[in-house]
Amino acid sequence: MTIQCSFEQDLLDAISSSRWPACVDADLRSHVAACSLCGDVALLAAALQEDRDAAWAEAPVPPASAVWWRAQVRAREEAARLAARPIAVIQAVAAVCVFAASVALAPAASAWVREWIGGLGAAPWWSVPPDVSLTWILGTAAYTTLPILAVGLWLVLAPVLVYLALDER
Amino acid sequence: MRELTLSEIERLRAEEQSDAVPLEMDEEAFRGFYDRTARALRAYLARVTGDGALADDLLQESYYRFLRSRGAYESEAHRRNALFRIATNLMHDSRRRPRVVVAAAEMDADTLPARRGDPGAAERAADLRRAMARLKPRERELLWLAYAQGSSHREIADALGLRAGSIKLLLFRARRRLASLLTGAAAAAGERTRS
Repeated sequence: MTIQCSFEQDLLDAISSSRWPACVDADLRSHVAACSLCGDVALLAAALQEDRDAAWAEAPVPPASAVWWRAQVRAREEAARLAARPIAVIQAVAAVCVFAASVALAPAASAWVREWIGGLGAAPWWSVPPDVSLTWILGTAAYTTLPILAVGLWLVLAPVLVYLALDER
Repeated sequence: MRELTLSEIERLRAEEQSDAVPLEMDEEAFRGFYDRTARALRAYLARVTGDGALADDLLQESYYRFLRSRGAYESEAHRRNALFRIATNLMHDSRRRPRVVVAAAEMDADTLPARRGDPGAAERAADLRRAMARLKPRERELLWLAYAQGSSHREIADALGLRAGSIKLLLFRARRRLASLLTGAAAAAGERTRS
């Protein structure tokens, strides 16, 4: 089975240079009329090249400068994401370390906490005494909220400090 | 795709000068390469996908990935083929993602702009797009590169990631299929005219 004709390239050249069909040799015209392969090529190439010209005309492409700048912006964003990856890793490691330390220290801490709560008196530690005062509120905050805030702050700042220390610039 | 305003362009230019990220080529070289390839690439994307908006998105993405690829290209032709290969792969990826597309088969002559001095052009374009829409994506890619762009078999193979030896046969089959669809469409149009 023949799948390519030796006249195909001549025919394509004639179509792409707009010489087909009026300005080509009579030999080529008569060959195309008789050859089914070249007949298909003539039909398709003419239709596709006409459609290509329409496609080129119908939608303008964005300017090169806009495409370049968008590429620059995206490249910078990707570079920033890549640079931030070690920070995320360090944060994860820090969180795991804190969790592991908490688990390791839990038995000793629980004894200390029980002793401390016992020292507060007979009332349960979460109950509010009848004579609530500003001093009591501040004291409770100092014993409960501030340590939690300190730990949270440390978890946030430690990776940043490590990143700044390791940053080459 | 959103248009950039002048102030955004100025800001980006300032940022670019202060903190440029290395890309495959510098801006001057890119502008030249883009001017030589963008229209052809956009036409290829639009006609193979049958979706102008998707073609615009893929155009931007193709150039971005090309710029980030930092490949070692021997020549302009090699570079161009690499760009078309990236675009082809992106089209394949986009087909795997669900997306609402106006099928090219639904286009008819009334929706296409009539070309001046040739009233039959819109009809022919509609027939071609309907026929192209019935082909496999690979067939559309082959036919467009071969006959709309005039690429050689070697260039087509590079752009589509196929063996050069297989292009001739694949092109033959795709050509036969499109020719039969087009001649069928022409016969149907003749019937409509007579009736």
